[in-house]
Amino acid sequence: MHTIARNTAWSIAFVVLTGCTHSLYHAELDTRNSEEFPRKTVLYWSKTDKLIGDPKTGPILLMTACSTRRVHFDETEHGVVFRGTPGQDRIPGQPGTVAEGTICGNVQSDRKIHDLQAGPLSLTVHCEAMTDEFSIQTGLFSPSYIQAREEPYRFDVQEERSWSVLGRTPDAPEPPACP
Amino acid sequence: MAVDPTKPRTVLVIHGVQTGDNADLNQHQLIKQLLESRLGNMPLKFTTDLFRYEELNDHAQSKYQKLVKLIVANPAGQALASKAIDLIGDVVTARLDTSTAATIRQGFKEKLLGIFDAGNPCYVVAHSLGSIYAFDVINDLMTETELFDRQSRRTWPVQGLITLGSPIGLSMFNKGRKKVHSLGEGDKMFRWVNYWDRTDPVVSGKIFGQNLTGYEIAEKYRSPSPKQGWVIRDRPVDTGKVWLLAHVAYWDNPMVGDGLFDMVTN
Repeated sequence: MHTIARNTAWSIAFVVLTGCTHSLYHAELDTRNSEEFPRKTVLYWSKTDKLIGDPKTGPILLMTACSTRRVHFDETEHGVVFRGTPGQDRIPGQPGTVAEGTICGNVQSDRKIHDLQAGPLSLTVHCEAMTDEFSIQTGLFSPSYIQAREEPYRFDVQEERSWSVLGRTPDAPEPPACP
Repeated sequence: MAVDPTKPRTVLVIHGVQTGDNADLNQHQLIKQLLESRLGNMPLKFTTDLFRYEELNDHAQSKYQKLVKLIVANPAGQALASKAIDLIGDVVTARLDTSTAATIRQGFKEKLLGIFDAGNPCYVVAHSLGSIYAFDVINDLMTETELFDRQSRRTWPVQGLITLGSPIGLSMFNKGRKKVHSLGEGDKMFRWVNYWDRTDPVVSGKIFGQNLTGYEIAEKYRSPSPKQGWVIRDRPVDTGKVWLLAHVAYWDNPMVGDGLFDMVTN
């Protein structure tokens, strides 16, 4: 009897200590890319919560249909931002590429990804993609991503939650199909 | 020789600390599956390849393995000690800058130059200790006069570097790796994206996998000088796993896959 109780207690302790809650956050929006074509955009990130320790999150990914670029929103001292890549991003109307440190967009709310929840999420994009001879442009595909604009994009984020022992690879939505 | 941007891309993987031998290694297949899973309906032409060096490490460690067999009588103890030597020996080989490490670097360099000669744009994915070799070899190639002309990516044997779970932030690997080689004047940028899980003990050196924040790994190599020519990003990623499991969980992570897609297509 004691053995059964002890084994049960150990099993419960093991599951509690190694159990993880996984959340996939995702949203999609009908948008236009920088070439003015209508393109679906999908946003996602994941979060893993453990009993002990801080949750692990991110980064936030923005995928625009027919785009060869994946826009990353990283957690930085300036909040959750899209850090422009010199040589690959530019500010519309300005000559040349962005300088290192240029913020090409940001999530307008919390400063930490793990504080973000399901529901409305606003983010801005100020840059557009540059190309060079190594940028693959085949069929409708090009680096062009969600169009830069002053007004924030408003996503309605959904959460899917699951649970595992010892963890598992986060899920992700499929990249939006290029028509 | 020059890289032809219209040719299929090659993703060259270099593995990290490993047990077993070369036949056990299949990380390039994992990367192929990962990239394919994040293409959507894009018809990207690419191949993946793997630089294997485990047998060089195993050869260097063979005298210690023989010693273990003499000292440890118990078969289970022998097996455990053998695995430990295999793993720890890999790290020591890299850290002490041994002749074996030099042979590994030379082999990786030749592999890269072979892809360069064929004209395929090459992107390196380096895991764990493999990132130390990749860092050394890419910086070494940048010193060669015919290669890495800042104005022409066609002269670049490597178009970009992705590191996964790299220990390059640890002080034990500081020696000889204080900075990256500057590319000089120009507007083309060499990209290095470093993915790491906040509880990966190989990255942090924290044996119990404490959750780290505000930890600069690759970004410590950034310079304000426009002549550097590198774009360097540390990118913490949720692998969904903890401790040592996190260290081997990058291979099928969709966020890593999306980062790889972004790099390989541009």
